[in-house]
Amino acid sequence: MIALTSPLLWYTARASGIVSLLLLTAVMALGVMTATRVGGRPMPRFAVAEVHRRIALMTMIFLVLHILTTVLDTYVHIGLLAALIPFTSAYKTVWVAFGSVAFDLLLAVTIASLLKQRISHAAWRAIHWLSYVSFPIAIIHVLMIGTDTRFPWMLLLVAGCVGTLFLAIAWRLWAHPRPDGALTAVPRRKGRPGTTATASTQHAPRGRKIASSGQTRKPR
Amino acid sequence: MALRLRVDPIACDGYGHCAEIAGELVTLDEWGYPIISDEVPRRLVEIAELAVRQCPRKALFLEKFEPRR
Repeated sequence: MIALTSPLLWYTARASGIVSLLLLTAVMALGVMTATRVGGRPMPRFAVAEVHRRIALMTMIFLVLHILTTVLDTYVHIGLLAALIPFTSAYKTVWVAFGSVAFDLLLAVTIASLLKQRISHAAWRAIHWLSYVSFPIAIIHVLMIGTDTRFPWMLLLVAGCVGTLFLAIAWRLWAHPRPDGALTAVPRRKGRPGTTATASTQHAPRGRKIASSGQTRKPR
Repeated sequence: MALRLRVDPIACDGYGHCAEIAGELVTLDEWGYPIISDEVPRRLVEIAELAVRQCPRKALFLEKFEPRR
């Protein structure tokens, strides 16, 4: 058992916070790349989406580590509930609350994505947009309560993350993705398709969906 | 009873993930929308299910049908 007064916990809390910020920035950039259909050769579009998904889960793991080590550490007194429920922390109430809100929003995004096959696409999408709310709140949390923001390298890091997100958003606004406008890993057919149906000629789906989740093959 | 892939043409937005994942079952037309084969062979069912799960628009699904013999 690690002594709770050991500086190890405190250093881990700080380090995992910084790593979370870097990972979150990467997740946001990869999410924008997925939405704007970046990908082709050598990295197909579905792989960009898959990396986005996996780094997102890794981000959540680092955030849990960040919260747990902060709670366990005795250098500052923040309870587990105070770390998760906004404005319940006695220590730096407002700036801890920013961290709580940022994490709670990302938790909602994560849960919605894990349940994606069971909820409507519109609901999933609406919840997914919350990540754009979470990011600036997380940045404020970092700047106002981050122990390491007294160092220039940390401020540079934060500036880099914010800059990356701004570039990603600008790319999303101006890239105007079109299905036929970018490369895919798969060559497109030229000319008229033969006997097979296309999405544009096919009738609206009839019949039962039986494997929308892939987990169960039984009709619901 | 056999399985086939279907596309919801309203939901599909031509992301092309299905064609990348299940190239044996899905090709893309010249506008980037999927052209899907009729029947999913048993050995490709898992890949078809993966393509269904990974569709960013939830526009792809599997359905049972009675193939003409």
